[in-house]
Amino acid sequence: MREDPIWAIFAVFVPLSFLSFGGGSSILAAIEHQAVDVHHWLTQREFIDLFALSRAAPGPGSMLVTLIGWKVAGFAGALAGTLAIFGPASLACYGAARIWSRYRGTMWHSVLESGLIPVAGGLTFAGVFAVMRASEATALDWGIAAVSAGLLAWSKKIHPLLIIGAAGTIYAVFG
Amino acid sequence: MAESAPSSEKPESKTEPPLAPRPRLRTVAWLFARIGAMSFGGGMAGWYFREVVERRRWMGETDFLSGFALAQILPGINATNMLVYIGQRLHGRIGAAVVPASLLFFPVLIAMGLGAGYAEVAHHPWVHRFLEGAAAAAVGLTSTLGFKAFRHSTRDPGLFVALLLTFVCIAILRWPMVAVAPCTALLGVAAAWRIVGRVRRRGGA
Repeated sequence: MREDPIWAIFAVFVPLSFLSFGGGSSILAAIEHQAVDVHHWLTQREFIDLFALSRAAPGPGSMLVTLIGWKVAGFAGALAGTLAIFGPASLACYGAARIWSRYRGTMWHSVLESGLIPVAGGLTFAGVFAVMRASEATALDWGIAAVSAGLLAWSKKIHPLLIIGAAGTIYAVFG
Repeated sequence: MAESAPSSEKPESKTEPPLAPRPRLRTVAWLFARIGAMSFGGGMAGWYFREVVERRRWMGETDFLSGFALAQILPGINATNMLVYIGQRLHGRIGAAVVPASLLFFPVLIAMGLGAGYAEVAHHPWVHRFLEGAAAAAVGLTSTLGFKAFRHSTRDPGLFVALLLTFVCIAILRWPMVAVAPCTALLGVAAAWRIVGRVRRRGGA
């Protein structure tokens, strides 16, 4: 069976983009199933390699889909994968942001804004918790996270890359 | 767009320093391209908050944090949703397209350019350990954003309960975020509404 890979990429990832709530990791298993079992774009091993690559490179982990597209159909595939996974949900988000901004300065806007802040806080800490649990964090991991948060809160001048790079180096050398 | 209608009834803190003038599009694009190139180990939202709000004052804290909550509640990958939100706030339609594209530019280039050989590197134990350390530090970066939201929420018991419930229901009880966040958002908004009412009754000029 021959299928146009570009359209197949859209057909797989556009629906997934709307199923993703929270981090991209919620649709990871579905991505793997579609790319490996259903469409045979990659072998299991290749998928794991691309996953590792998306984690090792900087930037959001969700660019895994860009890399899958690239593997399937070169540059056009990479573009298609990126547009498919980010595009539709981004358009929806853009519409919401536009409406949201239009009422800036009104009373009810600032009330809604203020009421959403605790949700942002709760979600952030829940996210931190989820990341630490998924990576089976040790006491050292928690310690590094606490020191990093403390240093960054203490001074706005400290560059995050300095702390992230230092922590990575410590782990690589002594870990 | 009434950008800065000064309202004495705003339920937000008045301690925030003033905003910087709106940056040029290419300044914004270049900043996000650099964040993309530097953000090893994740912690994307923490990077945006530090660079856009804390260091450059392009957006206010409440503006950023409420947008962050929206970006999470809406479907889609939240790291990208947040970029669309920031882009829209800073430069409208063009900003909403340019900011996510700028951020993805270097990571994709790095991952593709190094290609298949890099997959071997990515499995190297040293790289694994480096990333583990980087990810732990990146968690610290992300949590600075949470602490800012926490500080805003300690001003009122209702806000504080909304924060606590959001965390407990999702992280501890493992209820789905899609169900929890809208409910706790309602609670937060109700609390914020009460604060406004209080300020009004006091005739807060």
